[in-house]
Amino acid sequence: MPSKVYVTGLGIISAMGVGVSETLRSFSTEKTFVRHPEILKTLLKEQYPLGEVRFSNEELKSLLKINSKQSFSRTSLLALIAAKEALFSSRQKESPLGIGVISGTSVGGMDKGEYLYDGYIRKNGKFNLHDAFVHDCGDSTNKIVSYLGTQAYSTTISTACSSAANAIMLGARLIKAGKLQRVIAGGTDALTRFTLSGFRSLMILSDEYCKPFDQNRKGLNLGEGAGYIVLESEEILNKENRKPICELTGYANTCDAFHQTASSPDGNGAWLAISQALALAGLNAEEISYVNTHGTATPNNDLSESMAMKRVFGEKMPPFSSTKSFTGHTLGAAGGIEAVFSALSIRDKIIFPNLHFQDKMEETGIQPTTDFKKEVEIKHVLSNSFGFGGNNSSLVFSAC
Amino acid sequence: MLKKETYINGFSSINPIKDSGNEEDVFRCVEPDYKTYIDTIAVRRLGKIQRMALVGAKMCLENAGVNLPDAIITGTGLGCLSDTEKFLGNMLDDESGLHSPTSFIQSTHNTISGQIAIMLKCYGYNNTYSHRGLSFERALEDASLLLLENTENVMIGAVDEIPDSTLKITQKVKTFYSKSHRNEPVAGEGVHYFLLSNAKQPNSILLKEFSSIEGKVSYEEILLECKRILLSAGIETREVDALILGTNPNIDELHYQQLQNELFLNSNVLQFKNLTGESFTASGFGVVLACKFLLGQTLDERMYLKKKHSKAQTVLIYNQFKGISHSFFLLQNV
Repeated sequence: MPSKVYVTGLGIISAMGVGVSETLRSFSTEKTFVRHPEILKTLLKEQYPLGEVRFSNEELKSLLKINSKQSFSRTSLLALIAAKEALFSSRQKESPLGIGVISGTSVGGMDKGEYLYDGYIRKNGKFNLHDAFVHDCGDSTNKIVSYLGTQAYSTTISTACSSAANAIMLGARLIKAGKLQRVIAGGTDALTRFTLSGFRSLMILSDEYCKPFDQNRKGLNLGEGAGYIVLESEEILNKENRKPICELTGYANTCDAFHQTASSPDGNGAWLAISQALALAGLNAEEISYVNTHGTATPNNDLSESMAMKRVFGEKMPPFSSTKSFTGHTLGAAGGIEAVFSALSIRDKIIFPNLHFQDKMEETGIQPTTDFKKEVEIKHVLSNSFGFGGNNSSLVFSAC
Repeated sequence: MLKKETYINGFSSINPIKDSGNEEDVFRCVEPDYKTYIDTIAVRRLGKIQRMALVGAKMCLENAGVNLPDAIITGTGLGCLSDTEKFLGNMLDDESGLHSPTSFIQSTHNTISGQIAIMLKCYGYNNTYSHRGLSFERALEDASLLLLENTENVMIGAVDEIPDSTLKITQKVKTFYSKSHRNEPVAGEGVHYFLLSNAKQPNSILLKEFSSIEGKVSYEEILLECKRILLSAGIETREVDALILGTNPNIDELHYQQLQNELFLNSNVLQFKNLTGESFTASGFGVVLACKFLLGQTLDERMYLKKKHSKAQTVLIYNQFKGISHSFFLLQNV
């Protein structure tokens, strides 16, 4: 029998705050944390509300007690905060040496890359030499490895908005194959002018608070943050007599193979990902207690995702919501942040609301959960992450 | 990481190798005749790296005799840099302006695997690794895990480009050779695809073992890892017919020298970065070269550091990037 894979630690940073406790308090306000940015230096700040982490890079460094002169991208600072919390909350008895680190990111150190490119290439002038070494995706993972002092396997996945979900899936597969016993997996992405301008060029950025699954949704709010979970094998948990938060029972990675940025109207790739993840978990659709959707609030994603959900769940649609209405779309971090939410849903028996919903979509007529539900028996949570490139991944978390 | 056998049933390589000497300070790929392989009108808006990857994927599948792989995984150290540079330039020129989304759409690392999936209508597993000098190795490790999980055909790629601005920056920070920093490797590009399978075919090449080490390690650790791999495969050093080294011609990389002198005095020794340059995914070409050697194909004489005999049963590749990413691949004819 392949080993079961358990979730034992959670770490998060987003516009909702630093750490699991603050994030939960933020949820109970039932208000969005998306607002006009104060830290990102952009000419578009009056135009678009964003899910911005409230701390500057210097403040993040002092939270992490980093004094080094080394260059840190914002993406890696966010990663360190969340990965550290995940590791400590898992109450490891052994040193972190043997823990694998699998991290997803979409733009990596682009926040530094922008200034480097501007300074050196365009103005042929001043730039910080060290910034050149933090532009690539692998840098943020290396920073986690050296900050936490892990020495086992590490790797970086970059599949846009499904990066973190794919990182978690790889972590589970490596544990099941017996290659690793413990893994920190998730993802990180910082807000950058590059992504802001990019999503704007695609005309899928809303200048209002996003309204996932609403008939009149105008697009997404970009966000930033990091979310990591600690995965461990059944064997280790039994040996150390520690209790998990929940089990990761299902996962799947499929490709929509339709268009580089748009999802197919029938949501075929999403349907494949959800149904394969359920099959691996050995679950029927009606056993899902809550779906934490990808729910970006773009016209295209929400239609495609709800078509796929209709196909999977039929008329028996489980409670579902998009927590991106609180955090904004954190791109490569989204799957990690939402994995943390999924585990919290099981642990605390809660369902997060979908903010700003008013009218059902004409095409599918499905209704998300709009109030913060407590004391709900949550057995299985499905978490969806769909990205550019048709990269669709779904995860299933189950109560133990 | 291997238990079940991993066979290479097909491969392709788009690389910078030209017939005559290469005097430039960067090795850029010789672009293929796109229209032989793909509908160039359909892909006219794609960047060079994506077009090359589509052709590379097609050539690889043709070589393997497979129409549709079950999974597509790409390893790329720096992703789609030309499109990134282009959109970055537009954004910086006019931050509050509205730009064409094309180069943004194509700037994400997963554009490469994504476009191949769209071309092939491949709905299966699709992933992209971007982990510096081990990006290709990580793609390969995932593929071998998929084969272990009973996926039949997995296509993996090693893809990197080096457009002008990136070249300028990387030269400035001494990652690559420039007129002011001569003791660095010359930057290169490459697009290499492989069809891996757990099913043996007549022309299959067995990927017997592979491993990677991350971080600065001593020569002793490299030596130990090399011996461990050979031992685990049950192969004596004298049975290694060719040693392929990721050595850079203009710099002194002691690990390479020591390894060949200590263990492989009677093996053929080959290099390739004198013709392809260095990149985060250069080891991909090492694997291409090993496959060609094992299949008895004629190799460019400029690649031979030492020519000993013509036996071609077992090949070992050792590659490292900047002393911090090391990998070994052991391949055999079956």
